[in-house]
Amino acid sequence: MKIERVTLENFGIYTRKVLTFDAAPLVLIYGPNESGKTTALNGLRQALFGFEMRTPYLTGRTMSAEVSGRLANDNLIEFSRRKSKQDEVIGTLAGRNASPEELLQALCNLDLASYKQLFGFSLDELREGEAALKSARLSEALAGGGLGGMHALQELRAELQLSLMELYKSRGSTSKINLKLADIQKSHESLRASQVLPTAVEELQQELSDMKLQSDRERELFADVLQARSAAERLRDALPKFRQRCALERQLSNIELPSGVDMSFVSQWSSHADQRQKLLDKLDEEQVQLQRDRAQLAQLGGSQEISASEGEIEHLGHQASEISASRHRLQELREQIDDARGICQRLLETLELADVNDDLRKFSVSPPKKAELQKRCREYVTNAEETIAVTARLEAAVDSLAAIESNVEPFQQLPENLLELASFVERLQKLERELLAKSETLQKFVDDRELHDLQTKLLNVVGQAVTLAVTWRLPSAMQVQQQQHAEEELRRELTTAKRHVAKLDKEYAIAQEQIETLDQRSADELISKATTNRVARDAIIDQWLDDLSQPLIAASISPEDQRDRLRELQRLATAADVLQSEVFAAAEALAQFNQRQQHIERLQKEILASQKQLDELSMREQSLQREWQLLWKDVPFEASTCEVMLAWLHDYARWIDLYQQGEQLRRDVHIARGLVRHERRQLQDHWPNNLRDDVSTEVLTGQIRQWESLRHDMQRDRERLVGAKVNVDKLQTRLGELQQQHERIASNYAQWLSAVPITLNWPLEQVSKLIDTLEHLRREDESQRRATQQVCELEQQLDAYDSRVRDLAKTMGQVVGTGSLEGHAERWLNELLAMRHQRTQRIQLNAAIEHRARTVMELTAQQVELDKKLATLCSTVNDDNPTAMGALVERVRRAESIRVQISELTASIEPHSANEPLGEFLARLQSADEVTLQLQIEELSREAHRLDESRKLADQSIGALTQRIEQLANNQAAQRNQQALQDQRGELAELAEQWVVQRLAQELLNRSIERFAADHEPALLMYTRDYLKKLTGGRYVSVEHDNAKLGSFVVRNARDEPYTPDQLSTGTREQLYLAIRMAYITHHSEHHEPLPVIMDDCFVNFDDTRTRHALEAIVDWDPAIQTILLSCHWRVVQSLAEFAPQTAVIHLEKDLHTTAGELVLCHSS
Amino acid sequence: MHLADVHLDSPLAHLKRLDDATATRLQSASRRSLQNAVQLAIEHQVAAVVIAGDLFDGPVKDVGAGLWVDGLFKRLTREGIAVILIRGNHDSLSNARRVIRWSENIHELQSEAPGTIVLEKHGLAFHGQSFGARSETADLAANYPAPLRGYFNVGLLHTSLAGSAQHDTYAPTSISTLDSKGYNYWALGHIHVRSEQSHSQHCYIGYSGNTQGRHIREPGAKGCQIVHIVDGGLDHVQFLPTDSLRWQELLVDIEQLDYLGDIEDVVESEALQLCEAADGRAVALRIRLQGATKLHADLTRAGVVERLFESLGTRLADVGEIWLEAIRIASRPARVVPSADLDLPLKYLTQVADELREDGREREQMLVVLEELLKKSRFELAEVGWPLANDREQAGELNRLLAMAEDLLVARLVTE
Repeated sequence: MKIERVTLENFGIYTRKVLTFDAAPLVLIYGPNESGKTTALNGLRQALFGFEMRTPYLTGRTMSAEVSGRLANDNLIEFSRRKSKQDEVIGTLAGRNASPEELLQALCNLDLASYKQLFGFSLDELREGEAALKSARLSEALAGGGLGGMHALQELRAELQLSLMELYKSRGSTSKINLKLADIQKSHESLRASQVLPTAVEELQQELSDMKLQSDRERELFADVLQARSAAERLRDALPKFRQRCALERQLSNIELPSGVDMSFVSQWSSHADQRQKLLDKLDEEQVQLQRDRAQLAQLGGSQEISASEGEIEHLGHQASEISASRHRLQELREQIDDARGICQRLLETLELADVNDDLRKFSVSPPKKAELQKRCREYVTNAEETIAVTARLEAAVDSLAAIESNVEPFQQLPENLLELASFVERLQKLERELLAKSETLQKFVDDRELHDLQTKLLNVVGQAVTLAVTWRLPSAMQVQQQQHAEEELRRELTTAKRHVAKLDKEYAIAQEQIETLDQRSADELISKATTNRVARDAIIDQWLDDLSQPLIAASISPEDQRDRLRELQRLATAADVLQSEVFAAAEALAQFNQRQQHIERLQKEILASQKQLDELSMREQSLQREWQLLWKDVPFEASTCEVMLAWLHDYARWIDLYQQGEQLRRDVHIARGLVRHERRQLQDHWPNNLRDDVSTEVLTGQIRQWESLRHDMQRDRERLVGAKVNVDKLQTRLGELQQQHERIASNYAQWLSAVPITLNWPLEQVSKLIDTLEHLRREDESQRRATQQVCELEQQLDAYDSRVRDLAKTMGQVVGTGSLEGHAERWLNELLAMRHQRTQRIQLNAAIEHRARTVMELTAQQVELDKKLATLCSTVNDDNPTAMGALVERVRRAESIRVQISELTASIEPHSANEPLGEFLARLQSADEVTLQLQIEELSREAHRLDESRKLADQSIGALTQRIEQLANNQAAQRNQQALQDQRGELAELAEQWVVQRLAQELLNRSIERFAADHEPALLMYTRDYLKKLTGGRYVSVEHDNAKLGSFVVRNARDEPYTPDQLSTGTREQLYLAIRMAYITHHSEHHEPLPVIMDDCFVNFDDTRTRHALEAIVDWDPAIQTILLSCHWRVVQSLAEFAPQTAVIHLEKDLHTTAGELVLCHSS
Repeated sequence: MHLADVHLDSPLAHLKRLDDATATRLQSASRRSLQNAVQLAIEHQVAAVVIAGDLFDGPVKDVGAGLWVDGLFKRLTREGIAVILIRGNHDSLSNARRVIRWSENIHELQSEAPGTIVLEKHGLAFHGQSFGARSETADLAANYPAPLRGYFNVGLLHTSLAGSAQHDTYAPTSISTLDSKGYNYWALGHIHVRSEQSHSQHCYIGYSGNTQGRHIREPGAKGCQIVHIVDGGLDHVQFLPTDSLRWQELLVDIEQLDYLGDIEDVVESEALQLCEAADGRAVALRIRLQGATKLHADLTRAGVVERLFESLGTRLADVGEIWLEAIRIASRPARVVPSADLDLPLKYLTQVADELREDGREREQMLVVLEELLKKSRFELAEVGWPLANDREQAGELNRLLAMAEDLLVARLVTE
């Protein structure tokens, strides 16, 4: 379709905009930036293929667009779109109303996105396509052209490949699926290890059952033994008590008591006696303590008077240890002073100064100055070393210079234009090589039999008289294939129809044959016979019945007659049966006959219909033949069959290819030869002497090489000489610099040294030592001064202390020696403290003695009172002897005690009897033997212990077994592992599904691309070559398979040099991509309705030459395809004005419809 | 109480993103379902518990489940509740039985011939026969004894009746055969889907379904049936759920959605309803995204579904105890391949895919390619019912995956 006019209403900035194209094959929409070019572009696309769902150009409530265009069959198509709440489209096709579906069909059923993808060109797409071409396979490149870009295709393929590799690799263990399978294997092993086997459980259960039985048995035995032991133990435990009870009873009977003496009297007596005894004990204790206190007081003696100098003693005593420490410190300081003096002496010796110089001792160097002096020192040393090295090198360089000057030879004469000559020879050699290569290629091509064989093969089909031409307008392979399919289909239908007719004929003949064998007459005869038979039978029966109905006759009928009649009847009946079966057969035959009759009629009808179908097929065959002839009407020969012509077309395409290759090769050789000639003439003009034509390039190259070598040697010597001179100069300069530096450092140092108060000339290399020694000396002097000061202070302190101690001694009247006085002061302090302690003790003892004397007096009074009470009790029992009273009381007590013991023993024996009557138990005790009982108990205990231990073990085993079984029941390790295994399998299934889908996608994609390429490759390649040649101005002429790498392709330039896509420049790749896209659109348009192609400023990156070539290619494009260019670049208008001035131009800014030529003219004027 | 197909210790299908505690809980889901059933039996004071086969999952070596059941059923016998059970195809040869010492009140009907158990106290008679082998092809019901007069007669049978698409055919029989026996109730097992109503008008014939769904093909509530008998006749049947995890598939139409993030909002609101309907149980959710959408291309990119899974999983965990089983992409590209009239590489996709679908030789070639993976992993994949590893389902699955592959390509190559 070519657009005639597009009207946009309320579309973005356009209230109403009419774009008139007049179905021109090329229209340029020109507009500078901000002139509404993008709006026009989108308006155009959306007017054709529908408004976008959410378009930013909808400013009001509605927008609309009207389009009128001309289809390839010259029909007019007009439609209008309206966007409001719901999009509407109405229109006409060839003057009649058309449904939206029909309109869509006329636009190849494309939607907006697909149209943009296939028929739109933009700068971004061009860039992406160019980048994708770098690594594209041929099939991919062609398919990408059909997809509107290779980028997405390549990205998808790479992504699929990567994803597949990540998911699974048949070898290797790092892919997700392999890792998962390894995990599953581990889970299997874990599962096997965690499963509980039935045999193991059965063994446990059996063991548990045995243990329970054993435990029950031992429990019973244990109970019996315990019972026996308990009885023996009771006897044993009761026996000592019983014997004790007997002894007590005997003692009680031996005690005599007076009457009237009871336990109340005894208790009263005892109470008083006890109290008296306690009083006496306490009185004795108090008196002893009183005497001890008095003796202690006497020992303390009288009190001493405390000295009035108590304060001074205390002060000096406490200070004594401190004074002692000060004496030690004084001694240390004196030793320290002596050491410092020695060090100072040694330092001064280091400085080689005999006497102490006060100025020197006060001299100090600041840290920055010290650092500076050290730096100077380092510079001085470095300078000295470098001076030595430079001097040595200078001497060597001077010797070397002399040697080079003596070696340099005088310069020889060489051609002045040597470089130019070398360049000429090189170019000539290169051109000759190219000529040779092209000649060889041409020769190989000429020698190759393929072209001749193809030509012969082609002429065999079309006739030897025909001359093959590359300009023939031949039908496409697809058309031939369609014809072939149509013929094959027709042939199949014809064969089927003929076979069907033959089959019907055969069936008809068989039916006719079958129907003729049926004999109608025999059926009539059978009916007649049956009738006769029936009549005869009826006659006999009637006659017989008549005879039998008359008694006389009946009686006269002999048995023979009756037998005859019966036999006759029997014969007739048999005959009737035969006849009846024959009649049935005849009836069946008749029915069959009727059926066959109907069948024959039906067959006749079908035969007629089939013949009619055959006629129709024959007509179609003729029609196909006419179409076939029409297809080949433009060629000077008669076409053969489809199969032959299809193969022929294939060979013809190859022949054209080869033929063009041959022509191209010849042209190339011719051009190369001319270039060689031209270059040689140029060389002769520049050669320094006469040069013959027949001198080979090898000889010329040899000469040039010789001159070059000579020139190179001379040049090298010259460079060496210059280099040596420069080196000597440099070394001399450096030596001068070093000497200056040396002088500067020495001067600085001398200046500083003059300020130092020493007489000798100290070397700069050892300045650090000088500074360090001076510092050390200063530090030692300072230390000595501080120590001397401290010694003076300490001596004053000690003298003051000693005089205070001597004063105190004088006061106390004591004599002290001349030695250390701190000992005296400490001793006086200790005496003072002991005296204070005694005084405190004396006061405490006086108070205690007074208190004890009072207590003794009170206790004596209480004792007298108790003696009176005891005397009163003696008189009560008429006994004045208190001693005898005591013995009586004692007997009473003893008897009572025995009674109580007997009672207690009886009570304690009773529990041992358990349920046995006490009397019987005591009787048994009477006869029991303790040793025997003990032996019995021990034996029973041993048995009980053994049984108990055994039972405990059994119970423990039962517990352990039960616990183990419960654990097994509740242990879900196997289940957990099973679940883990199932989980891993689930994950594996997910990964496997991903892999399968992607693997299938990869396979589908590869197959689709290969299929597309196989079907369309020849045509697409042919067009691509054409467009590439035009777009590159003839620099690149061919795109073909790369024989070195399967699936890849190469681009050849005019010199037949192959380039892989990645070897091309970016600009050339963009041109190649453009060529592929144009090829696809051309190819597509040959078979379908051509749609307008919109190119949105996609040549921005092209230089002027490339832009011009691109525009030329578009101008020369298939006129059936309408191209709409959008651009904001004036150079596009200018280019078009040069070679296609009639190109229609729409100037958006000026709202002007004109031509390129007029617009440029108007602009320049 | 009628229950069947407990499949003890049968693993559940894989669920991602589980914390350890929940994973442990789900591992023991089958045991929990039987525990729940026992608890319900005690709470409802049932006369007997009837298990119509497949109490155990299979003849595995591990017999822990047998010991565990032995302990669990002691609770029922202590409460005076009888247990009558038969063996089905899964547990016909189960090792678990070797370690069980059934108590007095637990009756396992034998496989040699049909047997009858009578509970005089309750007026109940149970007839049934266990499977002697995994593959029982005879009509066992045909030889069941005549009903006992004056009792409520219950038949126990593990059967697929006339056959099922999802289950193997075992002990085939017909409704008329079962009707002809004159029993009051037929407790059937083997089919994991509960019968909504009786298969017959003459007596009750039905499946109770399994007690715990194990994968997404067993969705919805699972449990047991309480059979209420009044005056010696069937009054009504009451379903009680015993499952602790419920499988649900959520179909989400994403045709109108513009962004991937919108999917999460839609799923979240739908999942909330599912969570409420699950009555406090955990829900294992499979999400199936469907509809022609422009999001399809994004959904087919590597890692997108995984990220959506992670994000949704986190959001759903806030909604309730919902675990994502999988996200299935059943959507289609919003745009189909451009006009079939055009000579486009994409047009060949359909041709090639059709060839793979219809041409046996092409299909075999494709399977040879896929065999690269299958030969190493077929066994494991078959264990989780992966259709491509199963010869019977291979054809259909390959077609489905082919369609997905085709959609993937179209979505990625056709600019939205």
